Amino acid sequence: MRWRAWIAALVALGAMSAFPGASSAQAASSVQYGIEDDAWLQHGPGTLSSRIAELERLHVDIVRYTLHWDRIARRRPADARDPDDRAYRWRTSDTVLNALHKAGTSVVVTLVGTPSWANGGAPPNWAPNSASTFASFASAAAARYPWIEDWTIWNEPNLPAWLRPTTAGIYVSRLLNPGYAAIHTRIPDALVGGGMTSPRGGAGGVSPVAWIRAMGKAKAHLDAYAHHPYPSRPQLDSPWGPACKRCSTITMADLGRLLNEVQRAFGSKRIWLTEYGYQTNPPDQLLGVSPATQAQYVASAARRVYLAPRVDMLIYYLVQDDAEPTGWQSGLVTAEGLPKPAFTAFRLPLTEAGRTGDRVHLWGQVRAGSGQRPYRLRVLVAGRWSWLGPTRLTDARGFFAATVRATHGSFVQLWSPRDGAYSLELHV
Amino acid sequence: MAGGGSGRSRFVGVAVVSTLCALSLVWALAGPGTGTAAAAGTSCAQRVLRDWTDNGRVDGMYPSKCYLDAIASLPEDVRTYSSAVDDISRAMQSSQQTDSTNAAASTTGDPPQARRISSDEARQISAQSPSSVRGLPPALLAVIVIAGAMTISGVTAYFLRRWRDDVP
Repeated sequence: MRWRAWIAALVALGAMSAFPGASSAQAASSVQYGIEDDAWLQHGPGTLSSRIAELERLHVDIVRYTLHWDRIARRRPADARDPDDRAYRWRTSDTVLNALHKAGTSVVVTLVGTPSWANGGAPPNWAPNSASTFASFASAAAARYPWIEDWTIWNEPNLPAWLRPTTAGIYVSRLLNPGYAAIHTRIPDALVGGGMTSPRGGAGGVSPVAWIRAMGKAKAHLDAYAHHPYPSRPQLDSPWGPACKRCSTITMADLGRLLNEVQRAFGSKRIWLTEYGYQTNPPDQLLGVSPATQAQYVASAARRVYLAPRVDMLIYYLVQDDAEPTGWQSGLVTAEGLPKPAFTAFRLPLTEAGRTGDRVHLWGQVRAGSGQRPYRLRVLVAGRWSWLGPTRLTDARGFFAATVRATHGSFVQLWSPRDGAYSLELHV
Repeated sequence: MAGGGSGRSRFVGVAVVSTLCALSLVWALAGPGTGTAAAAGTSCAQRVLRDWTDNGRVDGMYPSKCYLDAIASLPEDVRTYSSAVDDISRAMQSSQQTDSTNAAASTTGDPPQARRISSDEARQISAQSPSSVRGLPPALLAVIVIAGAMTISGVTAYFLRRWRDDVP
Protein backbone atom coordinates (compact mmCIF):
# COMPACT_ATOMS: atom_id res chain seq x y z
CA MET A 1 0.00 0.00 0.00
CA ARG A 2 1.73 3.13 -1.24
CA TRP A 3 -0.34 5.54 0.86
CA ARG A 4 0.69 3.68 4.01
CA ALA A 5 4.34 4.10 3.08
CA TRP A 6 3.78 7.83 2.55
CA ILE A 7 2.08 8.22 5.94
CA ALA A 8 4.85 6.27 7.62
CA ALA A 9 7.51 8.41 5.98
CA LEU A 10 5.74 11.65 6.97
CA VAL A 11 5.30 10.49 10.56
CA ALA A 12 8.93 9.46 10.77
CA LEU A 13 9.99 12.83 9.34
CA GLY A 14 7.81 14.65 11.88
CA ALA A 15 9.16 12.56 14.71
CA MET A 16 12.73 13.15 13.59
CA SER A 17 12.15 16.88 13.70
CA ALA A 18 11.07 16.42 17.28
CA PHE A 19 14.20 14.52 18.13
CA PRO A 20 16.38 17.45 19.10
CA GLY A 21 14.43 17.15 22.33
CA ALA A 22 15.84 13.70 22.83
CA SER A 23 18.68 13.51 25.22
CA SER A 24 20.77 11.10 27.16
CA ALA A 25 19.63 10.13 30.62
CA GLN A 26 19.41 13.07 32.95
CA ALA A 27 21.59 11.79 35.75
CA ALA A 28 24.37 9.28 36.18
CA SER A 29 22.73 6.61 38.32
CA SER A 30 24.77 4.02 40.12
CA VAL A 31 21.89 1.59 40.44
CA GLN A 32 22.56 -2.05 39.61
CA TYR A 33 19.75 -4.29 38.41
CA GLY A 34 19.91 -7.85 39.61
CA ILE A 35 18.16 -11.15 40.17
CA GLU A 36 17.69 -13.53 43.03
CA ASP A 37 16.64 -17.13 42.54
CA ASP A 38 18.77 -19.52 44.60
CA ALA A 39 16.62 -22.56 43.86
CA TRP A 40 16.79 -21.94 40.11
CA LEU A 41 20.53 -21.35 40.23
CA GLN A 42 21.13 -24.55 42.17
CA HIS A 43 18.53 -26.87 40.70
CA GLY A 44 16.99 -25.16 37.66
CA PRO A 45 16.76 -26.65 34.19
CA GLY A 46 19.95 -27.32 32.24
CA THR A 47 23.39 -27.00 33.75
CA LEU A 48 24.74 -24.33 36.06
CA SER A 49 26.72 -22.97 33.10
CA SER A 50 23.60 -22.72 30.98
CA ARG A 51 21.74 -21.00 33.79
CA ILE A 52 24.52 -18.48 34.23
CA ALA A 53 24.45 -17.96 30.46
CA GLU A 54 20.73 -17.22 30.85
CA LEU A 55 21.57 -14.58 33.44
CA GLU A 56 24.00 -13.09 30.95
CA ARG A 57 21.23 -12.99 28.35
CA LEU A 58 19.17 -11.07 30.89
CA HIS A 59 22.15 -8.70 31.34
CA VAL A 60 21.95 -8.77 35.12
CA ASP A 61 24.42 -6.54 36.90
CA ILE A 62 24.35 -8.45 40.16
CA VAL A 63 23.01 -11.70 41.63
CA ARG A 64 21.80 -12.08 45.20
CA TYR A 65 22.65 -15.39 46.81
CA THR A 66 21.93 -16.72 50.29
CA LEU A 67 24.37 -18.51 52.57
CA HIS A 68 22.39 -20.54 55.09
CA TRP A 69 24.44 -20.65 58.27
CA ASP A 70 22.28 -23.50 59.61
CA ARG A 71 23.01 -25.66 56.54
CA ILE A 72 26.68 -24.80 56.16
CA ALA A 73 27.45 -25.37 59.85
CA ARG A 74 25.15 -28.15 60.97
CA ARG A 75 27.78 -29.09 63.57
CA ARG A 76 29.54 -26.63 65.84
CA PRO A 77 32.96 -25.84 64.29
CA ALA A 78 36.04 -26.22 66.43
CA ASP A 79 37.38 -22.95 65.06
CA ALA A 80 34.34 -21.14 63.71
CA ARG A 81 36.38 -18.31 62.19
CA ASP A 82 38.31 -20.73 60.02
CA PRO A 83 36.46 -21.44 56.76
CA ASP A 84 38.43 -24.68 56.43
CA ASP A 85 37.10 -26.06 59.68
CA ARG A 86 35.86 -29.59 59.08
CA ALA A 87 32.38 -28.75 60.34
CA TYR A 88 31.68 -26.33 57.48
CA ARG A 89 29.97 -27.59 54.33
CA TRP A 90 30.55 -25.04 51.56
CA ARG A 91 30.11 -27.34 48.58
CA THR A 92 26.78 -26.00 47.31
CA SER A 93 27.67 -22.35 47.77
CA ASP A 94 31.19 -22.90 46.39
CA THR A 95 29.73 -24.37 43.21
CA VAL A 96 27.34 -21.49 42.56
CA LEU A 97 29.43 -18.59 43.81
CA ASN A 98 32.64 -19.67 42.11
CA ALA A 99 30.77 -20.14 38.81
CA LEU A 100 29.30 -16.65 39.11
CA HIS A 101 32.74 -15.26 39.97
CA LYS A 102 34.26 -16.99 36.98
CA ALA A 103 31.57 -15.45 34.77
CA GLY A 104 32.41 -12.01 36.12
CA THR A 105 29.02 -11.55 37.74
CA SER A 106 28.84 -9.40 40.86
CA VAL A 107 27.21 -11.02 43.86
CA VAL A 108 25.50 -9.72 46.98
CA VAL A 109 25.43 -12.38 49.64
CA THR A 110 22.89 -12.76 52.43
CA LEU A 111 23.77 -14.59 55.65
CA VAL A 112 20.77 -16.16 57.37
CA GLY A 113 19.56 -19.04 59.56
CA THR A 114 20.83 -20.05 62.99
CA PRO A 115 22.13 -23.60 63.49
CA SER A 116 20.46 -25.38 66.36
CA TRP A 117 23.75 -25.66 68.27
CA ALA A 118 23.90 -21.85 68.41
CA ASN A 119 20.39 -21.18 69.70
CA GLY A 120 19.74 -23.97 72.16
CA GLY A 121 18.10 -26.33 69.70
CA ALA A 122 15.53 -23.88 68.35
CA PRO A 123 14.55 -23.55 64.66
CA PRO A 124 16.77 -21.46 62.30
CA ASN A 125 14.56 -18.37 62.67
CA TRP A 126 15.55 -18.03 66.33
CA ALA A 127 18.43 -15.68 67.04
CA PRO A 128 21.71 -17.12 68.28
CA ASN A 129 22.23 -17.00 72.01
CA SER A 130 25.43 -15.02 71.67
CA ALA A 131 26.78 -12.45 69.23
CA SER A 132 30.13 -14.18 68.82
CA THR A 133 28.83 -17.29 67.06
CA PHE A 134 27.34 -15.32 64.17
CA ALA A 135 30.39 -13.05 64.00
CA SER A 136 32.59 -16.12 63.62
CA PHE A 137 30.45 -17.49 60.80
CA ALA A 138 30.43 -14.11 59.02
CA SER A 139 34.20 -14.02 59.37
CA ALA A 140 34.55 -17.52 57.92
CA ALA A 141 32.21 -16.69 55.01
CA ALA A 142 34.11 -13.49 54.21
CA ALA A 143 37.38 -15.42 54.31
CA ARG A 144 35.90 -18.06 52.01
CA TYR A 145 34.66 -15.52 49.45
CA PRO A 146 36.96 -12.52 49.73
CA TRP A 147 36.04 -11.31 46.23
CA ILE A 148 32.45 -10.59 47.26
CA GLU A 149 32.03 -6.90 48.00
CA ASP A 150 28.37 -6.67 49.00
CA TRP A 151 27.01 -8.49 52.04
CA THR A 152 23.68 -8.39 53.80
CA ILE A 153 22.80 -9.60 57.26
CA TRP A 154 19.75 -11.82 57.66
CA ASN A 155 16.50 -11.77 55.71
CA GLU A 156 13.35 -9.88 56.73
CA PRO A 157 14.14 -9.90 60.45
CA ASN A 158 11.05 -7.80 61.10
CA LEU A 159 8.96 -10.94 60.48
CA PRO A 160 8.78 -13.73 63.07
CA ALA A 161 9.02 -16.24 60.25
CA TRP A 162 12.63 -15.10 59.85
CA LEU A 163 13.71 -13.86 63.27
CA ARG A 164 12.57 -14.54 66.81
CA PRO A 165 12.52 -12.65 69.09
CA THR A 166 11.41 -10.15 66.47
CA THR A 167 13.09 -7.07 67.85
CA ALA A 168 15.49 -4.64 66.24
CA GLY A 169 17.60 -4.69 69.42
CA ILE A 170 18.29 -8.44 69.12
CA TYR A 171 18.89 -8.06 65.39
CA VAL A 172 21.43 -5.30 65.85
CA SER A 173 23.26 -6.72 68.86
CA ARG A 174 23.45 -10.40 67.90
CA LEU A 175 23.49 -10.32 64.12
CA LEU A 176 24.06 -7.04 62.31
CA ASN A 177 26.78 -5.34 64.35
CA PRO A 178 28.81 -8.51 64.96
CA GLY A 179 28.48 -9.46 61.28
CA TYR A 180 29.38 -5.96 60.13
CA ALA A 181 32.56 -5.92 62.21
CA ALA A 182 33.61 -9.43 61.21
CA ILE A 183 33.14 -8.86 57.47
CA HIS A 184 34.94 -5.51 57.55
CA THR A 185 37.84 -7.08 59.38
CA ARG A 186 38.24 -9.67 56.62
CA ILE A 187 37.35 -7.42 53.67
CA PRO A 188 37.97 -3.77 54.55
CA ASP A 189 36.36 -2.48 51.34
CA ALA A 190 33.23 -4.57 51.70
CA LEU A 191 29.83 -2.96 52.00
CA VAL A 192 27.46 -4.45 54.54
CA GLY A 193 23.73 -3.92 54.25
CA GLY A 194 21.45 -4.12 57.25
CA GLY A 195 17.72 -4.10 57.67
CA MET A 196 16.60 -6.38 54.83
CA THR A 197 13.10 -5.55 55.94
CA SER A 198 9.85 -6.90 54.61
CA PRO A 199 7.46 -4.19 53.35
CA ARG A 200 5.05 -4.79 56.22
CA GLY A 201 5.10 -6.26 59.69
CA GLY A 202 2.09 -8.51 59.35
CA ALA A 203 0.94 -10.74 62.21
CA GLY A 204 3.50 -10.68 65.00
CA GLY A 205 5.97 -8.65 62.99
CA VAL A 206 7.23 -5.08 63.14
CA SER A 207 6.56 -2.50 60.47
CA PRO A 208 9.63 -1.40 58.51
CA VAL A 209 9.22 2.19 59.72
CA ALA A 210 9.27 1.11 63.38
CA TRP A 211 12.13 -1.27 62.61
CA ILE A 212 14.30 1.40 61.01
CA ARG A 213 13.73 3.76 63.94
CA ALA A 214 14.49 1.03 66.48
CA MET A 215 17.64 0.04 64.57
CA GLY A 216 18.75 3.67 64.70
CA LYS A 217 18.23 3.78 68.45
CA ALA A 218 20.11 0.50 68.83
CA LYS A 219 23.10 2.12 67.08
CA ALA A 220 23.17 -0.18 64.08
CA HIS A 221 26.34 -0.34 62.01
CA LEU A 222 25.71 -0.52 58.30
CA ASP A 223 26.92 0.78 54.96
CA ALA A 224 23.55 0.48 53.25
CA TYR A 225 19.98 -0.04 54.36
CA ALA A 226 18.38 -2.97 52.55
CA HIS A 227 14.65 -3.33 52.05
CA HIS A 228 12.10 -5.35 50.06
CA PRO A 229 9.48 -2.97 48.64
CA TYR A 230 6.90 -5.50 47.42
CA PRO A 231 3.47 -4.04 46.66
CA SER A 232 0.71 -4.31 49.27
CA ARG A 233 -2.08 -4.42 46.73
CA PRO A 234 -0.58 -5.56 43.45
CA GLN A 235 -3.95 -5.03 41.76
CA LEU A 236 -3.63 -1.30 42.45
CA ASP A 237 -0.01 -0.51 43.31
CA SER A 238 2.18 0.48 40.45
CA PRO A 239 5.80 1.28 41.32
CA TRP A 240 4.73 4.93 41.43
CA GLY A 241 1.58 4.84 43.43
CA PRO A 242 -0.72 5.22 45.11
CA ALA A 243 1.57 6.05 48.02
CA CYS A 244 0.08 5.51 51.46
CA LYS A 245 0.61 8.68 53.49
CA ARG A 246 -0.18 7.43 56.98
CA CYS A 247 1.05 3.87 56.63
CA SER A 248 4.03 2.31 58.31
CA THR A 249 4.50 -0.06 55.40
CA ILE A 250 7.04 0.68 52.68
CA THR A 251 6.32 -0.43 49.14
CA MET A 252 7.99 0.75 45.96
CA ALA A 253 5.30 3.42 45.75
CA ASP A 254 6.45 4.61 49.20
CA LEU A 255 10.11 4.84 48.25
CA GLY A 256 10.21 8.42 49.51
CA ARG A 257 9.29 7.22 52.99
CA LEU A 258 12.16 4.73 52.96
CA LEU A 259 14.63 7.42 51.93
CA ASN A 260 13.38 9.78 54.64
CA GLU A 261 13.35 7.20 57.43
CA VAL A 262 16.80 5.90 56.57
CA GLN A 263 18.15 9.45 56.37
CA ARG A 264 16.67 10.25 59.77
CA ALA A 265 17.93 7.06 61.44
CA PHE A 266 21.35 6.60 59.83
CA GLY A 267 22.22 9.70 57.80
CA SER A 268 22.99 9.52 54.09
CA LYS A 269 23.36 5.76 53.85
CA ARG A 270 22.93 4.03 50.54
CA ILE A 271 19.73 2.09 49.82
CA TRP A 272 19.65 -1.47 48.51
CA LEU A 273 16.36 -2.93 47.34
CA THR A 274 17.32 -6.56 47.67
CA GLU A 275 13.99 -8.18 46.78
CA TYR A 276 11.16 -7.00 44.61
CA GLY A 277 8.70 -8.47 42.14
CA TYR A 278 5.20 -8.85 40.83
CA GLN A 279 3.52 -12.22 40.69
CA THR A 280 1.42 -13.04 37.65
CA ASN A 281 -2.08 -14.37 37.14
CA PRO A 282 -2.04 -17.01 35.84
CA PRO A 283 -1.19 -18.80 37.99
CA ASP A 284 -1.55 -16.66 41.14
CA GLN A 285 -5.18 -15.62 41.29
CA LEU A 286 -4.90 -13.61 44.49
CA LEU A 287 -1.74 -11.55 44.16
CA GLY A 288 -1.05 -11.91 40.46
CA VAL A 289 -1.21 -9.18 37.86
CA SER A 290 -1.41 -9.90 34.16
CA PRO A 291 1.89 -10.82 32.48
CA ALA A 292 1.68 -7.59 30.46
CA THR A 293 1.27 -5.51 33.63
CA GLN A 294 4.16 -7.33 35.28
CA ALA A 295 6.35 -6.43 32.30
CA GLN A 296 5.21 -2.82 32.42
CA TYR A 297 6.01 -2.61 36.14
CA VAL A 298 9.42 -4.20 35.71
CA ALA A 299 10.42 -1.39 33.36
CA SER A 300 8.65 1.28 35.37
CA ALA A 301 10.30 0.18 38.64
CA ALA A 302 13.68 0.31 36.92
CA ARG A 303 13.06 3.97 36.12
CA ARG A 304 11.69 4.62 39.62
CA VAL A 305 14.91 3.54 41.31
CA TYR A 306 17.03 5.14 38.61
CA LEU A 307 15.57 8.51 39.55
CA ALA A 308 15.66 7.95 43.31
CA PRO A 309 18.68 9.34 45.12
CA ARG A 310 21.03 6.97 46.95
CA VAL A 311 19.47 3.76 45.60
CA ASP A 312 22.24 1.46 44.41
CA MET A 313 20.52 -1.85 43.85
CA LEU A 314 17.23 -3.35 42.67
CA ILE A 315 17.06 -7.13 42.84
CA TYR A 316 14.20 -8.82 41.04
CA TYR A 317 12.94 -11.89 42.86
CA LEU A 318 12.81 -15.05 40.77
CA VAL A 319 13.91 -16.04 37.34
CA GLN A 320 11.37 -18.85 37.17
CA ASP A 321 7.96 -19.35 38.75
CA ASP A 322 7.66 -21.88 41.53
CA ALA A 323 6.39 -25.21 40.23
CA GLU A 324 3.96 -25.37 43.12
CA PRO A 325 0.84 -23.28 42.42
CA THR A 326 0.90 -22.13 46.04
CA GLY A 327 4.50 -20.96 45.68
CA TRP A 328 5.86 -17.61 44.51
CA GLN A 329 5.02 -16.75 40.91
CA SER A 330 6.96 -13.59 40.12
CA GLY A 331 9.34 -15.26 37.69
CA LEU A 332 10.43 -13.84 34.37
CA VAL A 333 9.68 -17.25 32.93
CA THR A 334 6.84 -19.62 33.76
CA ALA A 335 7.24 -22.82 35.73
CA GLU A 336 7.28 -24.59 32.36
CA GLY A 337 10.18 -22.43 31.20
CA LEU A 338 8.30 -20.16 28.80
CA PRO A 339 9.43 -16.54 28.90
CA LYS A 340 6.89 -14.01 30.12
CA PRO A 341 6.84 -10.49 28.62
CA ALA A 342 8.73 -9.39 31.74
CA PHE A 343 11.76 -11.35 30.51
CA THR A 344 12.12 -8.92 27.62
CA ALA A 345 11.20 -5.94 29.80
CA PHE A 346 13.97 -6.86 32.23
CA ARG A 347 16.72 -7.12 29.63
CA LEU A 348 15.63 -4.12 27.57
CA PRO A 349 13.38 -1.85 29.63
CA LEU A 350 11.40 0.89 27.91
CA THR A 351 8.76 2.96 29.66
CA GLU A 352 6.74 6.10 29.14
CA ALA A 353 7.91 8.89 31.42
CA GLY A 354 5.24 11.37 30.40
CA ARG A 355 3.46 13.05 27.55
CA THR A 356 2.98 16.61 26.37
CA GLY A 357 0.44 16.64 23.59
CA ASP A 358 1.87 14.47 20.85
CA ARG A 359 5.30 14.46 22.41
CA VAL A 360 5.98 11.31 24.39
CA HIS A 361 8.88 11.20 26.84
CA LEU A 362 10.49 7.80 26.93
CA TRP A 363 13.02 6.28 29.30
CA GLY A 364 14.92 3.08 28.88
CA GLN A 365 18.15 1.22 29.20
CA VAL A 366 20.18 -0.89 26.84
CA ARG A 367 21.68 -3.36 29.27
CA ALA A 368 23.77 -5.32 26.80
CA GLY A 369 27.37 -4.24 26.55
CA SER A 370 29.29 -1.51 28.30
CA GLY A 371 29.99 2.17 27.79
CA GLN A 372 27.78 4.23 25.53
CA ARG A 373 25.52 1.92 23.54
CA PRO A 374 23.66 2.52 20.28
CA TYR A 375 19.88 2.44 20.25
CA ARG A 376 17.05 3.37 17.95
CA LEU A 377 13.33 3.89 18.43
CA ARG A 378 10.50 3.16 16.05
CA VAL A 379 6.75 3.71 15.93
CA LEU A 380 3.96 1.62 14.47
CA VAL A 381 1.86 3.63 12.03
CA ALA A 382 -0.87 2.16 9.87
CA GLY A 383 0.50 -1.30 10.44
CA ARG A 384 4.08 -0.39 9.50
CA TRP A 385 7.06 0.33 11.70
CA SER A 386 8.86 3.61 11.04
CA TRP A 387 12.15 4.62 12.58
CA LEU A 388 12.04 7.66 14.81
CA GLY A 389 15.26 9.44 13.94
CA PRO A 390 18.74 8.06 13.57
CA THR A 391 20.64 5.67 15.78
CA ARG A 392 21.68 7.39 18.98
CA LEU A 393 23.89 6.65 21.93
CA THR A 394 22.92 5.98 25.51
CA ASP A 395 24.93 7.31 28.43
CA ALA A 396 27.88 5.32 29.75
CA ARG A 397 25.62 2.94 31.67
CA GLY A 398 23.18 2.32 28.85
CA PHE A 399 20.43 4.69 30.03
CA PHE A 400 18.63 7.06 27.73
CA ALA A 401 15.76 9.52 27.84
CA ALA A 402 14.17 10.53 24.56
CA THR A 403 11.20 12.53 23.38
CA VAL A 404 9.35 11.35 20.32
CA ARG A 405 6.21 12.36 18.55
CA ALA A 406 3.50 9.73 18.76
CA THR A 407 -0.24 10.01 18.95
CA HIS A 408 -2.29 8.51 21.76
CA GLY A 409 -2.62 4.79 21.35
CA SER A 410 0.55 4.37 19.29
CA PHE A 411 3.08 1.62 19.80
CA VAL A 412 6.77 2.40 20.08
CA GLN A 413 9.68 0.02 20.36
CA LEU A 414 13.34 0.14 21.25
CA TRP A 415 15.99 -1.52 19.12
CA SER A 416 19.39 -2.46 20.46
CA PRO A 417 21.66 -3.10 17.46
CA ARG A 418 24.47 -4.35 19.68
CA ASP A 419 22.61 -7.50 20.65
CA GLY A 420 20.04 -7.41 17.87
CA ALA A 421 17.16 -7.19 20.32
CA TYR A 422 13.84 -5.37 20.35
CA SER A 423 12.04 -4.27 23.47
CA LEU A 424 8.39 -5.03 24.06
CA GLU A 425 5.99 -2.90 22.05
CA LEU A 426 5.13 -0.02 24.35
CA HIS A 427 1.60 1.34 24.12
CA VAL A 428 1.88 5.10 24.58
CA MET B 1 -70.06 -42.28 67.94
CA ALA B 2 -68.55 -43.98 65.11
CA GLY B 3 -69.62 -41.06 62.93
CA GLY B 4 -68.44 -38.60 65.54
CA GLY B 5 -65.35 -40.60 65.99
CA SER B 6 -64.95 -40.77 62.29
CA GLY B 7 -65.38 -36.96 61.94
CA ARG B 8 -62.81 -36.26 64.74
CA SER B 9 -60.31 -38.63 63.25
CA ARG B 10 -60.83 -37.05 59.84
CA PHE B 11 -60.31 -33.63 61.46
CA VAL B 12 -57.12 -34.84 63.18
CA GLY B 13 -55.89 -36.38 59.96
CA VAL B 14 -56.55 -33.21 58.01
CA ALA B 15 -54.87 -31.14 60.74
CA VAL B 16 -51.76 -33.37 60.68
CA VAL B 17 -51.60 -33.28 56.91
CA SER B 18 -52.08 -29.51 56.85
CA THR B 19 -49.37 -29.08 59.50
CA LEU B 20 -47.00 -31.23 57.48
CA CYS B 21 -47.89 -29.25 54.34
CA ALA B 22 -47.33 -26.00 56.20
CA LEU B 23 -43.98 -27.22 57.51
CA SER B 24 -43.03 -28.30 54.00
CA LEU B 25 -44.11 -24.93 52.64
CA VAL B 26 -42.14 -22.98 55.23
CA TRP B 27 -39.16 -25.29 54.77
CA ALA B 28 -39.44 -24.82 51.02
CA LEU B 29 -39.25 -21.08 51.53
CA ALA B 30 -36.60 -20.89 54.22
CA GLY B 31 -35.01 -24.31 54.34
CA PRO B 32 -33.10 -24.38 51.08
CA GLY B 33 -31.62 -21.06 52.00
CA THR B 34 -30.21 -22.33 55.23
CA GLY B 35 -29.02 -25.48 53.56
CA THR B 36 -27.25 -23.54 50.87
CA ALA B 37 -25.87 -21.20 53.47
CA ALA B 38 -24.21 -24.08 55.24
CA ALA B 39 -22.90 -25.47 52.00
CA ALA B 40 -21.75 -22.04 50.93
CA GLY B 41 -19.54 -21.60 54.00
CA THR B 42 -16.34 -21.91 51.98
CA SER B 43 -17.57 -20.33 48.79
CA CYS B 44 -18.61 -17.13 50.55
CA ALA B 45 -14.99 -16.84 51.80
CA GLN B 46 -13.92 -17.23 48.22
CA ARG B 47 -16.31 -14.50 47.20
CA VAL B 48 -14.73 -12.18 49.75
CA LEU B 49 -11.28 -13.00 48.35
CA ARG B 50 -12.44 -12.48 44.79
CA ASP B 51 -13.96 -9.18 45.85
CA TRP B 52 -10.61 -8.13 47.38
CA THR B 53 -8.59 -9.39 44.43
CA ASP B 54 -10.24 -7.25 41.79
CA ASN B 55 -9.30 -3.89 43.31
CA GLY B 56 -7.72 -4.40 46.73
CA ARG B 57 -10.98 -3.55 48.54
CA VAL B 58 -13.90 -5.59 49.77
CA ASP B 59 -16.79 -3.69 48.24
CA GLY B 60 -19.62 -6.09 49.00
CA MET B 61 -21.16 -6.88 52.38
CA TYR B 62 -21.04 -10.41 53.71
CA PRO B 63 -21.85 -12.28 56.91
CA SER B 64 -18.98 -12.00 59.42
CA LYS B 65 -18.12 -15.66 59.04
CA CYS B 66 -17.27 -15.11 55.38
CA TYR B 67 -14.65 -12.47 56.24
CA LEU B 68 -13.17 -14.66 58.95
CA ASP B 69 -13.09 -17.71 56.69
CA ALA B 70 -11.50 -15.62 53.95
CA ILE B 71 -8.71 -14.46 56.28
CA ALA B 72 -8.19 -17.98 57.57
CA SER B 73 -7.87 -19.31 54.03
CA LEU B 74 -5.23 -16.82 52.90
CA PRO B 75 -2.02 -18.40 51.65
CA GLU B 76 1.06 -17.46 53.65
CA ASP B 77 2.54 -15.21 50.96
CA VAL B 78 -0.67 -13.22 50.68
CA ARG B 79 -0.95 -12.96 54.46
CA THR B 80 2.65 -11.74 54.82
CA TYR B 81 3.26 -9.53 51.84
CA SER B 82 -0.10 -8.03 50.97
CA SER B 83 -2.60 -5.88 52.79
CA ALA B 84 -5.31 -8.53 52.43
CA VAL B 85 -5.64 -9.25 56.16
CA ASP B 86 -5.92 -5.54 56.99
CA ASP B 87 -8.31 -4.83 54.12
CA ILE B 88 -10.64 -7.74 54.87
CA SER B 89 -10.60 -7.05 58.63
CA ARG B 90 -11.43 -3.42 57.99
CA ALA B 91 -14.28 -4.41 55.68
CA MET B 92 -15.65 -6.77 58.33
CA GLN B 93 -15.56 -4.04 60.98
CA SER B 94 -17.27 -1.65 58.63
CA SER B 95 -19.93 -4.25 57.88
CA GLN B 96 -20.49 -4.94 61.57
CA GLN B 97 -20.72 -1.21 62.36
CA THR B 98 -23.28 -0.80 59.63
CA ASP B 99 -25.30 -3.70 61.03
CA SER B 100 -25.22 -2.33 64.59
CA THR B 101 -26.07 1.19 63.41
CA ASN B 102 -29.07 -0.15 61.56
CA ALA B 103 -30.13 -2.24 64.56
CA ALA B 104 -29.89 0.79 66.87
CA ALA B 105 -31.82 2.91 64.40
CA SER B 106 -34.61 0.37 64.19
CA THR B 107 -35.09 0.41 67.98
CA THR B 108 -35.11 4.22 68.17
CA GLY B 109 -37.31 4.60 65.15
CA ASP B 110 -34.69 6.62 63.33
CA PRO B 111 -34.12 5.84 59.68
CA PRO B 112 -31.22 3.41 59.27
CA GLN B 113 -27.94 5.04 58.32
CA ALA B 114 -26.84 2.26 56.08
CA ARG B 115 -23.59 2.61 54.21
CA ARG B 116 -24.37 4.04 50.83
CA ILE B 117 -23.82 1.38 48.30
CA SER B 118 -23.33 1.67 44.61
CA SER B 119 -25.48 -0.11 42.10
CA ASP B 120 -22.59 -2.49 41.50
CA GLU B 121 -22.50 -3.27 45.17
CA ALA B 122 -26.23 -3.74 45.23
CA ARG B 123 -25.97 -6.15 42.34
CA GLN B 124 -23.20 -7.97 44.12
CA ILE B 125 -25.16 -8.22 47.33
CA SER B 126 -28.27 -9.41 45.54
CA ALA B 127 -26.17 -11.90 43.64
CA GLN B 128 -25.13 -13.33 46.96
CA SER B 129 -28.73 -13.84 47.91
CA PRO B 130 -30.13 -15.25 49.96
CA SER B 131 -27.24 -14.12 52.16
CA SER B 132 -29.50 -11.59 53.88
CA VAL B 133 -31.83 -14.43 54.86
CA ARG B 134 -28.99 -16.85 55.29
CA GLY B 135 -27.32 -14.50 57.64
CA LEU B 136 -30.07 -15.14 60.23
CA PRO B 137 -29.03 -17.25 63.19
CA PRO B 138 -30.22 -20.88 62.94
CA ALA B 139 -32.17 -20.60 66.23
CA LEU B 140 -34.16 -17.64 64.92
CA LEU B 141 -34.86 -19.49 61.70
CA ALA B 142 -36.16 -22.47 63.65
CA VAL B 143 -38.50 -20.22 65.63
CA ILE B 144 -39.78 -18.70 62.40
CA VAL B 145 -40.33 -22.14 60.85
CA ILE B 146 -42.21 -23.49 63.88
CA ALA B 147 -44.26 -20.31 64.32
CA GLY B 148 -45.16 -20.34 60.63
CA ALA B 149 -46.18 -23.98 60.76
CA MET B 150 -48.27 -23.47 63.89
CA THR B 151 -49.99 -20.44 62.41
CA ILE B 152 -50.87 -22.21 59.18
CA SER B 153 -52.06 -25.34 60.95
CA GLY B 154 -54.06 -23.27 63.45
CA VAL B 155 -55.78 -21.33 60.71
CA THR B 156 -56.46 -24.54 58.80
CA ALA B 157 -57.89 -26.18 61.90
CA TYR B 158 -60.08 -23.17 62.62
CA PHE B 159 -61.63 -23.23 59.17
CA LEU B 160 -62.01 -27.01 59.27
CA ARG B 161 -63.84 -26.76 62.60
CA ARG B 162 -66.12 -24.06 61.21
CA TRP B 163 -66.72 -26.19 58.12
CA ARG B 164 -67.54 -29.22 60.28
CA ASP B 165 -69.84 -27.18 62.52
CA ASP B 166 -71.59 -25.81 59.44
CA VAL B 167 -72.20 -29.30 58.08
CA PRO B 168 -75.78 -30.23 58.94
